[in-house]
Amino acid sequence: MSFFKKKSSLSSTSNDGGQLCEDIEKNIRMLEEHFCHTEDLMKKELQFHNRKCVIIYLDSLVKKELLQASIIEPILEGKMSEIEKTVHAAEIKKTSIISEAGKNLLDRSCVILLEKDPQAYVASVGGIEERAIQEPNNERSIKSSHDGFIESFSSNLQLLRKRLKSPQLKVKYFTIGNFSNTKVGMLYLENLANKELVEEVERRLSSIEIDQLYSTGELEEVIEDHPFSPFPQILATERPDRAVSYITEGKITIIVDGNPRVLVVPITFFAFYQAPDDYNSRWLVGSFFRLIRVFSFIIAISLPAIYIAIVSFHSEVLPIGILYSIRVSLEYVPFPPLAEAIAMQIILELLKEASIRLPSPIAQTIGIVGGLVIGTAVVDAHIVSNMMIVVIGFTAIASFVAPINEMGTSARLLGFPTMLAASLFGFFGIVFVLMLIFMHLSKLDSFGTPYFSPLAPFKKEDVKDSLIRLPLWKLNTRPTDAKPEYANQQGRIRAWKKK
Amino acid sequence: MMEKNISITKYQLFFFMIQSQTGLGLLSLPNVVQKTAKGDGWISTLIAGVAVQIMLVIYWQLLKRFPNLIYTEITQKILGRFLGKFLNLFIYLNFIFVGGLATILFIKIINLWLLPITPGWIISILILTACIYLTISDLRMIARFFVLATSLILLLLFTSFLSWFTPKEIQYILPIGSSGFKNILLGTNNSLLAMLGFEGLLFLFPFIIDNKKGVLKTISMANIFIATFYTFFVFLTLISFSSDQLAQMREPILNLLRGITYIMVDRVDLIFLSIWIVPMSTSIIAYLFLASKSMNVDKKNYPKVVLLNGFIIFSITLIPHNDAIITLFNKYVTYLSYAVVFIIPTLLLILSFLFKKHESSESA
Amino acid sequence: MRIIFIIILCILPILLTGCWDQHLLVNRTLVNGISFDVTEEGKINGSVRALSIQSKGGGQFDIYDELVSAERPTPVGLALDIDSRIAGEIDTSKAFVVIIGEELAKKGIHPFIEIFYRNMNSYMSSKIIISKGKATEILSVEKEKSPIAFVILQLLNGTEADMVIPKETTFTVWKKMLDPGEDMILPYVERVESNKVEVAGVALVNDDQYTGITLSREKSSILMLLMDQLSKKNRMALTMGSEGKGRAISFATRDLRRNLEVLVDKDNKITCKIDVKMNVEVGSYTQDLSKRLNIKKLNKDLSDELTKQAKEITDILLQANCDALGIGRRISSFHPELWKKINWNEEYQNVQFEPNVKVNIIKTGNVF
Repeated sequence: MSFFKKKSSLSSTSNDGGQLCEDIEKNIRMLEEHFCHTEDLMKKELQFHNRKCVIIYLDSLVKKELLQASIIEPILEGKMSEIEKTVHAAEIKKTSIISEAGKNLLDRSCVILLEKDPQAYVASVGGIEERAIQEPNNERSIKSSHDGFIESFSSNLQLLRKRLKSPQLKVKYFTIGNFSNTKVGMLYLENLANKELVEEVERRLSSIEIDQLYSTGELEEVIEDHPFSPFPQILATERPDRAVSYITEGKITIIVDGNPRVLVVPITFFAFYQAPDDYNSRWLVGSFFRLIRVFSFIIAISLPAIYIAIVSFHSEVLPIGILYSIRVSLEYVPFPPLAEAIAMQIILELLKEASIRLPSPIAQTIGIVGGLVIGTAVVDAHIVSNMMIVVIGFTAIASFVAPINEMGTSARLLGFPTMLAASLFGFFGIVFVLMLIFMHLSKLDSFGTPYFSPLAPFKKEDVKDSLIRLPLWKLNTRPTDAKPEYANQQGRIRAWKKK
Repeated sequence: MMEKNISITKYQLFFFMIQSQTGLGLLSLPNVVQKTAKGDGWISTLIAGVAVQIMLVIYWQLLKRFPNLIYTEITQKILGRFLGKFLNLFIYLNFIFVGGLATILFIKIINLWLLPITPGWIISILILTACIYLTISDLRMIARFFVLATSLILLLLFTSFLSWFTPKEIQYILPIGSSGFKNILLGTNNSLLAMLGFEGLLFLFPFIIDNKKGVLKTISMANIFIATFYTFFVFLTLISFSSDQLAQMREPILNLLRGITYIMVDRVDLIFLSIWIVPMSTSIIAYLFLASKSMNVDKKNYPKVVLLNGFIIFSITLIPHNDAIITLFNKYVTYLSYAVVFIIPTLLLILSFLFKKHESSESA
Repeated sequence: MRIIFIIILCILPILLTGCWDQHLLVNRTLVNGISFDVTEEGKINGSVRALSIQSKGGGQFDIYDELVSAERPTPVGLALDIDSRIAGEIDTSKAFVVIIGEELAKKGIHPFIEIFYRNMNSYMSSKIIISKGKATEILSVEKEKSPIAFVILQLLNGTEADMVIPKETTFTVWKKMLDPGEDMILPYVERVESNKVEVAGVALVNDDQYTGITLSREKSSILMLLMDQLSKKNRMALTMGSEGKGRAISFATRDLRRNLEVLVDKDNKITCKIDVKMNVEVGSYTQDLSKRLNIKKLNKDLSDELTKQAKEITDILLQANCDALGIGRRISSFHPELWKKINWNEEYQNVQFEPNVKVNIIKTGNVF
């Protein structure tokens, strides 16, 4: 532990606070030392009004054409006397601190050093290839907009700003990671977001001590309230429309540079079962699908367990018709139901994992092999009963219903302890585990907001846009789970009706 | 001042009262009541509701004088340190024993209907684990869960409507009042035990954040709900079974559901009982909470106390579960409960009137 | 770390000790019918029909029933004997029919019902029926073909729907057995044509003892009317006038209103007035083709005929000492003093029945 600490502090303090001086050779040397004599640090010597002028840049991070056109050529022409006016760049910063200059070099800029000048001029000439904006693969929608976040911070910010053209939309930058220096931004509506919430998120983000931060997943683990909980307490989305709708509820989004997933805090359980499509369908349809999704959560957790409990404890709850067909399908199956269920669940997970990594034509083959061949052969060989295949299949489908993948996976995972309890104690075991899960849900907090709100604590006014979706003209107040500064979000929305 | 994170709303108080009162008592209530009151058992439960209401008014008068103190602090305030502590010991023992008794009955029902061979201690461990897990967190979270669990009581109401499809005979309760006033009162006595749990108010009152004026209304609503609810079920069983049959049954409510069959499910009783586990657990949680609160410990030691009390209740459940011992245990716990729930608060109120004591006055 | 260790220590024994109550469905032999008889030596003979499965290969199965029986002096312990003769664990949680032999039923059916309601696992909605002759004969019908539950159960459900027999299950029998103010009637079945089961009518039961008196199907439908039981459809066929030259009519009851009044006069003489008003729909009636149907007359004829038959039925009820109409309970709730004074079992004989049926034809089908 101490070893690590020493190392990390070393890396961040080397050559820190070094000042530039008037000697250009020395300045170059200092910069080179700052970058540990890396070989992609390029130097170009020029003359500018008879002064020696050196342009320093990281070869890999700049666009050569841009550098040529906007920096080198104007300097050679030398129409103006001052370097700041000569260079064609959107902004030119001046700095006299080595580490500051180094930071900018890493941020796709070039540094211009002049003879007898203790200042370094920094001009952005960056250009990194970016992926085009496209629909996110894991959060597809039918009726909503089809753009998604990408790996670039500024594009993501642009996608959000495009939708919220308000001066109240405020961004705060953080740089996290001593090596990675990842740019992290938090976005919120200044007059809407709860002040305490903003302070709390700021406090958590600025207190992170870490060397490298690559992904939103890591950030999520660092700032969430209950790291041992099986439930995701921060929502990560790739959909800008989704993120924007949360910002207008007074929530805070966190963008991590280089990640297409954007975090939303605080979040409640039911947000994981909402989809942007709900708002583009008729409200009855939207409400119906929301209820179906929440129902799928219960199914994913408890269906195999209920089946196990019935065939090994309480077969009397089934009426005679179903009971006989289950009894017949169980004949000659040598394994206890728990083993059957776990085996099938694991086969299913294996198939899923296998097909994710493979290119799609092969993945389809896996699907056929898994679904058809294994499915029927396993039953014919009397290893697993027919009914179990039905149950597991239904469970898997139910767990894939969740619009945010993490929640579905959590539900499937929680199915295992429930199955175990069911095979030990029957219905009593199932209720015991479900009770623990719901107790846990009512104990959870996400950034000071009860996680299972609006059901626990019950908030009547929030049910209208969480468990179900009432028509838009009923949603006069925004959800209160993020404790926004004011609740009203619309006036007489159907004012045309009254003359 | 009370900390913000352990306060509850009036609304949550309502559900807290309901959850701590309903539970184990209900399943066997019709049998217990009809032992003496026969077909007039439903009048007994109504009268019990009135009695509870009177007690609630007494509590209200007492708590108005000491709005920021809980029961065990009020005893010390009025009776002085020594005598107060002595009484608090009884209060604590009451909650522990009632909690223990509730757990024992819980285990018995599970053993009878769902898991006949599974040893009681395993069931006891499971129930208490869940109870401790919730009780150890603060009051706010307990209240949240209780509100959530109340939806299951609505489910019970729904199930009871299903039971209207089995034959009913209103004549079983006729003629009204035939059992005589004395027997009805004896039945009231029995049904009061099923209604215990309202004494939780004595501990919750300081934690209510809203305006305290409406609290009496809230708790009265809760009491009316419970009394109606119980009366409805006693009535339902009384018209479903003949009195000889009712005398034979341990849990009439479950037997009521046993006769229902559907194309999709048989044995509604088993499914119902499985769900009813939750309201039964909430009663135990309430008692565990009250027992831990009655020890007057500070916030830091509270989790340890909950663990300790949970362990004590577990030890109580290890005593043999034969009918004779439980009946005996039940009898003594009943006496203790009457003292703690009815007599002591009344005495405290009278004393505080006599000595003109308020919260602000110096303790003697 | 230590806490996790302790938690694991707590969980492990629970997992290791196994599952006490687990009895897998695959090991259970499902019983779908039970019969009780008395043998010549006075022993109790209990038989069960249990489901037996045989593989036909290729994931296909044949299901048929096997019949197992055992004898004991008392019903207690019969299950143990049968269990030892049957493969797997015996499971009576889906025993749909309980058939009790005629001779045994005369001695009282309480011990056989008690087995079922005391046990938590047994089925409370099974049909209790009394058989003509040996119950085993009914139970052994077509045992190679399909589970008996499907044969007898469907038969009983059909006749229940036609309102020939009452809907009596273990649950309701338990209640009526213990209720001094009401007696029950149970379905009475017999085996015909060597391989068919037929509902012959209802058996009248006093307390828990079969009285030996039965009502035919036609009569039991009228008793059902007097008992105010009407399901969706109720078809009835009747021959008016004397046998042979009488007119036959079949009709379906659409609406039934029964008013039962128990009057006690000064001498404690009990009179029971039963007024039944019913709206019926004519199903078939071979009328005199030359004349128009005289509905008024038909109404009157039907009413007279039904009243006459109702009177016959109440006489049979008195003869059997079977208080199927629940007169006793009426007295206990409206005349509690009288109820305490009398011995209802004897007093019932003196009840005066005054049935009165009024028929109103509301529909005559496709023709006038």
